Amino acid sequence: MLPAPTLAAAPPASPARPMVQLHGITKTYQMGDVTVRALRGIDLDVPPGQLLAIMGASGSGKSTLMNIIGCLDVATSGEYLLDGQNVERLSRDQLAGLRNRQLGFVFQSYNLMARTSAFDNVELPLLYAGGRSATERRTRVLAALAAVGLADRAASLPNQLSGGQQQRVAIARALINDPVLILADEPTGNLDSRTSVEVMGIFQRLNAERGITVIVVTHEEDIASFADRTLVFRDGLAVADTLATAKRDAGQVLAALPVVGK
Amino acid sequence: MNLFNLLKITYRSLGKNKTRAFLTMLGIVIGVGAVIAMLAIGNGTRQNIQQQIAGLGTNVIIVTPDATNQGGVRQEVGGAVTLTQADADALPGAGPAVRYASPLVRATVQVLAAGHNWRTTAYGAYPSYFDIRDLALQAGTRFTTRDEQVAAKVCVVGPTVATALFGTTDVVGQQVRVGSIPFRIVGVLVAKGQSGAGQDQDDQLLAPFSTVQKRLLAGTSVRAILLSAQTEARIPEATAGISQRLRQRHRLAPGAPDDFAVHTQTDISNAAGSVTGALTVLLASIAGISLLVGGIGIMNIMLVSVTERTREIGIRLAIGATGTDVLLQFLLEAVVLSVAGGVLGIGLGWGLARVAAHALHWEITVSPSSVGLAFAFSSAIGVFFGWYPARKAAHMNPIDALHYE
Repeated sequence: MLPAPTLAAAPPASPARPMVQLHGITKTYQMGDVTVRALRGIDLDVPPGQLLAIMGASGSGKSTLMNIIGCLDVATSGEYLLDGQNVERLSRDQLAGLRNRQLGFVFQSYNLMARTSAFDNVELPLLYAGGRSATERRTRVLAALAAVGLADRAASLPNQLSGGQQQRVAIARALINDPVLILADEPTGNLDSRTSVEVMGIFQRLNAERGITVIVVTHEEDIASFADRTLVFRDGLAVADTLATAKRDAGQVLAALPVVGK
Repeated sequence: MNLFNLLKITYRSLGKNKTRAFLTMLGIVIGVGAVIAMLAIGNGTRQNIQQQIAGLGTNVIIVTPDATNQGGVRQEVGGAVTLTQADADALPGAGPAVRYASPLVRATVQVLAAGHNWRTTAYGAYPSYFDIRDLALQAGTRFTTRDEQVAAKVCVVGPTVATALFGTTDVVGQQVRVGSIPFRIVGVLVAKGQSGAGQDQDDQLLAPFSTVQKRLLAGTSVRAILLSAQTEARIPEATAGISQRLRQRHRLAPGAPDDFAVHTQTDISNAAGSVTGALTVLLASIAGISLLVGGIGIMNIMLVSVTERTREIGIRLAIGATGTDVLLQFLLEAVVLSVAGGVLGIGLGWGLARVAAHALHWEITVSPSSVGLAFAFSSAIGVFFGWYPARKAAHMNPIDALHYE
């Protein structure tokens, strides 16, 4: 088979190629007369398969960075390569395509469609992706719900589910198109500690079993301790970058926690 | 994204807000319903009037004096004496297309019988008038040519007159006094009801021409000459013959204007048709305005719903909907609402037309073309008024939309 003509700029495909590459990323907002410098030059490489925690006080710029990595926002200056692809030159619709197929989002407030069943919520990105039959979609949705332990709640509406269950539906939705990167913005912010550990357990499992890169924004040391690496933000700059020496296993932590009753 | 998936998304979205969807549709339902009903009622009115005109008789031609040009003095139309009984008698000779001819005079009279008093219109004409006007009798006989020759004091009355005087229509052989002259009733007309102009066609008295002219009016004028053509197709031929004959008799120089006017049923029906046509346009435009208001209602609700659903739009954009996906979804929601509203409106309009038909005792039918028009118009309204809100939704910034409270 003849090799396909390769793009001159395409980097060599090697395991070393970072999933996320940021060079000198800045972001400034104009709020009336005041110029807010949310990010003041970020350089960051996230290797594929890493579980990265980003910590920082509110206003430190961590959410702004998440939005840029998630292709929801564009940096004022700097270079961003997602899985080797420069996203700066992509159109609005191409960015939407990236979000749909390469990325998965998990939010603090779950952001499920109201009055819409768990099944329909999880199916939605598949409908936007197109190209799959109804049977195929059904199989995938049920598999994604099973992966987060909600196989029996497909027909439930968000208001019939607990916070933890809603967040798990949101994770299933993020998983449905086999993303390479999951971005979770304070995913445990509204959850009690046991459910928080459960959610982090799901992230650890997806990370270990499927090799999905996961970036979690949090302000809890506890949550960050489940990650491979922790980045600390202050005033728009990364002030600390540490690899975990004693990464906790959510499964073990959960087993040690007292059962409060179901 | 394919269209089927889009339909699925739209269907789910509308299904979540049934009340809002229904209220949005209501404007279109009423608008389309009004257009359908108004067009049906307008058409019904026209058909009804045309029927009344047809009720004038078969192939009727009416000649009236046209006094607008006599000796340079403008006179009241119909008030001149340019038409005479001799003219009427000469007109059957105007050509083979003319079947009957009768002069007509009219008098408003007071009729007395059995202590009752009734004011009505007396018409004097030849017995052939019954043929020209298609007047049928429910009892008795017409007056005869012999009655005409001797100016006999006989009459035929309409059911309204008979009932007003005697309380019954069984009045053949009864005596009535018309003014101070005693008449004998020889026949009673079949009831015809109201004319298109709201006149009671049963409130009349018919007597021989000579009787009315000599005994009641004591004049020589003829109000009109009524004729009928052999067939409808021969009306133009008959009209031409009548004009030629009358010009000859009145010794009008070539180029001089006619001193009479010839009307056919077609003329009258055309005149009435243009009036009812204008009426239909008026009704339809009022209904059209309500359809427009319904469309603006859809835009209004869609705009509000774009704001209300900002967060939902943010979620859709975050999980990979393109601007086009969002635009098409909102556009499709508007189109589905207006088309569904259009379908319900057609039902409503049909129902209203049925009610109107029942109340007015007219035949009112909803024409397929008005259904098609209303349907096409309501779909177009969906696209037109759905476009702006949909564009607004599609151009939202995903982050702002996600963080919208």
